Amino acid sequence: MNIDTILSIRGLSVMFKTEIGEQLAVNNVSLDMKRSQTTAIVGESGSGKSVTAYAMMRLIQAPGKITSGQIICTPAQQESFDVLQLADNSNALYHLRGGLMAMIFQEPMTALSPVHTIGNQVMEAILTHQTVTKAEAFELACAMLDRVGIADASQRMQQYPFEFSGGMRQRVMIAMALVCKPQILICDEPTTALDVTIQAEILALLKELKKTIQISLLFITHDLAVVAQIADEVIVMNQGRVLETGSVRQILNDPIHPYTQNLIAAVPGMRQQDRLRPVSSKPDSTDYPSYSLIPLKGDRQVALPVSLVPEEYRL
Amino acid sequence: MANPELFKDLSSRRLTWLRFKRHKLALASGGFLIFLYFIAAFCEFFAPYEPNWRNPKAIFAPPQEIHVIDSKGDFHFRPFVYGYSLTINPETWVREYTQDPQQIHPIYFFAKGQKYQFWNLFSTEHHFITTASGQYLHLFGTDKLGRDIFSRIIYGARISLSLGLIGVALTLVLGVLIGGLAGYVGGRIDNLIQRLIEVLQSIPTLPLWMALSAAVPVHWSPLGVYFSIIVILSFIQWTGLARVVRGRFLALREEDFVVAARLLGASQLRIITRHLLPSFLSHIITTATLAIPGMILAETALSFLGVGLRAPVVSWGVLLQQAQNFQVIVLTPWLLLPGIFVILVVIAFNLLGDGLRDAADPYGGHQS
Amino acid sequence: MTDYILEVSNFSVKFPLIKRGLLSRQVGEFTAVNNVSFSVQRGSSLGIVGESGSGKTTLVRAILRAIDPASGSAVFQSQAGAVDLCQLSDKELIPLRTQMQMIFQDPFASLNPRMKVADIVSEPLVIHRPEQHREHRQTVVHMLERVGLEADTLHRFPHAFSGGQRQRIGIARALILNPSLVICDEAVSALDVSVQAQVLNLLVDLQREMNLTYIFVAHDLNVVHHFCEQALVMYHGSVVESGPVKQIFTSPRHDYTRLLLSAIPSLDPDIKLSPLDRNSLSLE
Repeated sequence: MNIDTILSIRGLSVMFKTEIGEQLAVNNVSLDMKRSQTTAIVGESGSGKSVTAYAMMRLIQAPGKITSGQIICTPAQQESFDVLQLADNSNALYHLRGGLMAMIFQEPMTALSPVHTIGNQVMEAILTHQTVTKAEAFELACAMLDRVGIADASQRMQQYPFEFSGGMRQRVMIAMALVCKPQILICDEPTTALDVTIQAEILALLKELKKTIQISLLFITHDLAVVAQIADEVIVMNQGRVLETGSVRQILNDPIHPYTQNLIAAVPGMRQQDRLRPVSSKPDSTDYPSYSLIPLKGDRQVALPVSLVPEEYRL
Repeated sequence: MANPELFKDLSSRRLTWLRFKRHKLALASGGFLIFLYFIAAFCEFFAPYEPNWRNPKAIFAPPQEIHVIDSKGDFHFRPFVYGYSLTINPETWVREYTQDPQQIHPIYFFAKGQKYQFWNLFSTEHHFITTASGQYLHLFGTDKLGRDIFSRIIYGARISLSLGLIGVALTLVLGVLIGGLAGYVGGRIDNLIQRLIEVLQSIPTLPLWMALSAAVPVHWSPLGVYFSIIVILSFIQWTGLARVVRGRFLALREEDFVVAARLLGASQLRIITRHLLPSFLSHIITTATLAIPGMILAETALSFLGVGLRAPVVSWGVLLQQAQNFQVIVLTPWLLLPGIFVILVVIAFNLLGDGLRDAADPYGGHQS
Repeated sequence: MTDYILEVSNFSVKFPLIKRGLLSRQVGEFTAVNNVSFSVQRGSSLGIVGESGSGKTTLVRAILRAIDPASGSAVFQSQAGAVDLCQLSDKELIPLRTQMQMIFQDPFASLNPRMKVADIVSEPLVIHRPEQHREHRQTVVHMLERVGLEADTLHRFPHAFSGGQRQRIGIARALILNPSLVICDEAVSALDVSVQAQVLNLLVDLQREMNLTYIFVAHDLNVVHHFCEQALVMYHGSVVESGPVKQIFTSPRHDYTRLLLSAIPSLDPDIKLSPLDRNSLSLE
């Protein structure tokens, strides 16, 4: 496997049991995350993008179940291992979550405990994965909060989440995630619940952090404009399947799969246009029958039969 | 694979039932309770004897076991029990009954036995199980007056179980009306009602019940006492329900679909009956189901202490009053059997309520 | 003489701050909408843009009298002439409800989950035209088809439908009585991008067919730019900028508008987001 790939998912399937039957939320998904790059997974609701991320951290719980697949992780200067093969409650799994891989969520209020101070929660993240004294943890926490742009960090450590605004809470979450120097940071729609001005600040913060810390980012979102701003590589998902992958310029400026093309056309922009072209994403739509991913020129992939791909893209 | 098409046509009631079916324990509890209530409804038929009938040949007699093979090894197609023979224990000088293999009392089903009045409508003699005249059947033993415990428990079921239901119904009416008023109207009325609830809830319940119960005139008929006990118990219970209803109304009032109804020009009555009530009905039913065991326990406690229902009315609490001393545990443990039934019913209602609560919100997990 | 269907003047909405105690007292008030004035031309679309806490939702709900304003007037050109919505009693408002309606943001919360679609969409007819109950079914089917839903949705319940379909049901309900003014309170904000496009296209079509006037509340500037001719920008309860949409976007006058515009990410990966620094602006 390529040394440039820090995480590789192969054939992942996740099934959910509901009272009306079983549903595959993730259906035979394969994707790669390049080291030190920002990979974005773009999809609408029901595409399976969040479930894929949760599977990466082994956070899938009943009624969901991982039915097949491998998630091969290759940390820096270490051996590759399959995340799905780690034993429950093993040390390796324990150090994976929060240590090697960290996650920030969409709703900062529900991700932070309302009854503990901010300082308490950030220090907990430190003390779980590093052997330091409480005083040292305090210093590290203050430094991290300062790093993510929270002024008067040492004083704000004593405050509770409700005393912070939405954007500040998201910064705290980022601090908690980064404090143990993870190699992979998963961001599950972190700016969806924020105002656009706050979103801009958080995106700027993430970009700046990525420049200085060696980290690979996995960014999950439904917002193509956010993808344009932050991603290097893009994976397009729909109904539990990967439809197209490529660099951000390839996907946004030159999409091949009709779903991607329709999705881009559906975004209202500053363009002068009387009508938006709507996209169809019905479950049993005949528009997008399932095909496997085929490799194309320029290190991109698309889930279409070769015959439907224009000549100039084929290998 | 999932069948989303099937899902689409289901009403919310069907969905609730589907979710409820997944809780096997709740389903079993529901079945058990229906079974008990059925027996209680037809208690005269199911019980072999009247509750106050005495068998002088069996005072504090132990339960009889059912056999099909007699002491000689013969198989009897009809199950039977052994009669008692009375001996006096030479060491304790206590009367003891042992089962005498010589006396065979066959059990008859749907046969004629003691005469009784069926719901005071007509008199008949048929019972579910009974024995020939002169013979007796005491599956749960007898008490100090020779009364059949089995029959008394069945008759007691009618009182205890119905009291729970009617009591909760009254609590429901009071709680929904007053709580709904507070939640929907808000303002000063809401304030007043809340303070009233707080005052009522701060009074210790058991002493209050005992005091009110003692105030019930002694000469009232058993039926009168029965209903006054219900009123007394509901007197405090409605406050808890009212709080729940008020909270739910407050929350529902701000829901978009309620605002939409207001903006459509719907009248207040229409909003309450068409939009608010159906939304919290399932919640209220669940709360009520979980309140029934509280009622049953309360009545049992009061009667046990002697300030609730009294003889000749038979309820499980009245039966337990006979079991108040510790000698019972050693000498005549079968007198505690009504307690087992109380426990079973309370557990069953709690499991049922749990299942209902989980099933009551079918929309919780289906928002994609 | 411009035909204004709605003229709002000096409109304010305040919420009391209650101190909880044995006897709850009001210790102050919070101004959610501060002295707002604007006019809407008949047949046009007015966008109201703002972030959370700007007061835009409070403003439109108060105009429709779902909550009561503290002061100001909202003169609506009804079929019976000009009326000030703020002066009417609840009873007097009821007949006007047929002429002004709202479409809500949350497709899951705005429909009663225990009512069949047929009942949801026919409710306005039942309330306002009960004597014509024989025609109700026909009207409902016709309206559902107009919003792109089939007749077999009638006997189903909201949970059987996707977010976009539920939003269409909400639209059918709002439009079945042929109102002249429709307020869309973040009507597409909770929808996926593709579905959002479908619903926006539907709203545009319906506006043409039924000569509707829209007040379109949104936090997404791109949607407002696409959909509306005029717009207001709200910040902390006040209108900081108003005018034709194109003008707001190309030459914003207020600092907050500039901040807002600079924060919108572009679909072009080569146009980098460079938001203005909030602290360097004068936002009040």
